[in-house]
Amino acid sequence: MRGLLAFLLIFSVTLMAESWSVVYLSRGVKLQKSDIVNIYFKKMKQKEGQSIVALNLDSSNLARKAFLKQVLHSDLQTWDKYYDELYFMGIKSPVVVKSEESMLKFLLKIDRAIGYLPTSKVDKSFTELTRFKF
Amino acid sequence: MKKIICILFVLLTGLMAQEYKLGRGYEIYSNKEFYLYGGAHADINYYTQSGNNSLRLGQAGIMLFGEYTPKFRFLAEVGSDDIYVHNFNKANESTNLQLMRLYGEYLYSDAIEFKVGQFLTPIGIWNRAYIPALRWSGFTPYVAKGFFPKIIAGASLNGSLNEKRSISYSLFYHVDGEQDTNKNNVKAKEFFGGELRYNFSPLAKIAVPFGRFRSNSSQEICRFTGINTLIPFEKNEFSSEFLYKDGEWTNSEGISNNWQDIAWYIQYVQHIYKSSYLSVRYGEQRRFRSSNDVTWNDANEVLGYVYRPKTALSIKLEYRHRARTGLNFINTDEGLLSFSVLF
Repeated sequence: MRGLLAFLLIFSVTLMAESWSVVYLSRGVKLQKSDIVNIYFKKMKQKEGQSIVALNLDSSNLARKAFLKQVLHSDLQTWDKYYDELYFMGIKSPVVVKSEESMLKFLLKIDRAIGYLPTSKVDKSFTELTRFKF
Repeated sequence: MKKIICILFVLLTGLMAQEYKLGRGYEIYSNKEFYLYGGAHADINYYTQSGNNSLRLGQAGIMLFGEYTPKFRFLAEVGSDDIYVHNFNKANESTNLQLMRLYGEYLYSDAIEFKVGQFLTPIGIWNRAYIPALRWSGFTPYVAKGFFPKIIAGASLNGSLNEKRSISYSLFYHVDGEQDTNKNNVKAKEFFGGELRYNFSPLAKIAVPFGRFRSNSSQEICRFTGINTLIPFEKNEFSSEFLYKDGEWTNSEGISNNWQDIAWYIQYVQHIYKSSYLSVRYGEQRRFRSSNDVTWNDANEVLGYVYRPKTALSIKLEYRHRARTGLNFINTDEGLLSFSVLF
């Protein structure tokens, strides 16, 4: 009985999890799902000769943590260590925006920016690369 | 006078208002195309070996770095390796601050990044993890001590070789000349080399470094190559480096001699509880003469406890046992307590 309850609880939490999309506004650059990790870890700074701008939510944001784990296959500790090392080579981590609203504004405003939004907020002007849940 | 106070007040409140995260430098100026950051790092440690104790303000530096569009970057650092050493048994020592790094980078594409100036030799693991706070140990392994110059003054090309960014390279050339090389571990000229890497992920890699240089002091010609690997997981990390070097020198009678050096280490770090980690390392260095008899064999084991509440801050308590057999027998126990931070 307990097992069934636990299963139902996990199942209902899974159903309640919100879907998020990793998106970019295509303006001449064609990105692929496999590019996401390279872009966020600054292995890929350009695509087809054009600079890519990666956007992140604040590190305390739960969507950011889910994105880090499910899409980048990493964790905050590893991420921080990686960028602490790069910082002192003069390389900054991706731009941090404060909220989903700011993320949306930045994505619409900056050419070749990539970020993540609740799937419900993604319209046809964006190209979706992948989804994750939290 | 009031105006000056007002300006200072506005500047200070402006600075205070900015978000700051430990280890990520301080934003001095930023706009859409340009940013300028300031940063610093410091290491204070207490070292003990057979009754010889010292308190050191070790490696420290102040940095300024920036980027103009994603195409141009620069970095300048003033610092030193052992700024002040307070010895409890002998005279104190101090080192003058000097220009440690000064370089500019131009990103033509992900495949071609051109760097010019004075910078860290872009090979190995230890040599590239430059900041003590980011290292798991305060004891430097042999591979990073005397195998190749840790800083070069010249130019380098770096980049990725494939679309997946899984294969990357670095090539460098150290310009000959009488640079201020007091900060360098090996004084060399005609130094060139590189590293070819395969990246399993953005963080895990296996790499093959290589190089050749002429030693300034002995006029030896040295060639080296090796392999290194870094595999980090969420709760642990494995790293190792292996280097082989051979040297050739000609004495005053015109007779050529040669020798070989081998150095390697294996390091494992395990997360144990909250911000606490345990690090273990074993390393060796062997020198052979041309007859292939071992001249000496230096081995050490390092056991450390690392408290790292943030990645930019670490407190390390370490024990090292070092034993040398062959020439100049050594058998020592050393202890190190260090506090390292980057701002």
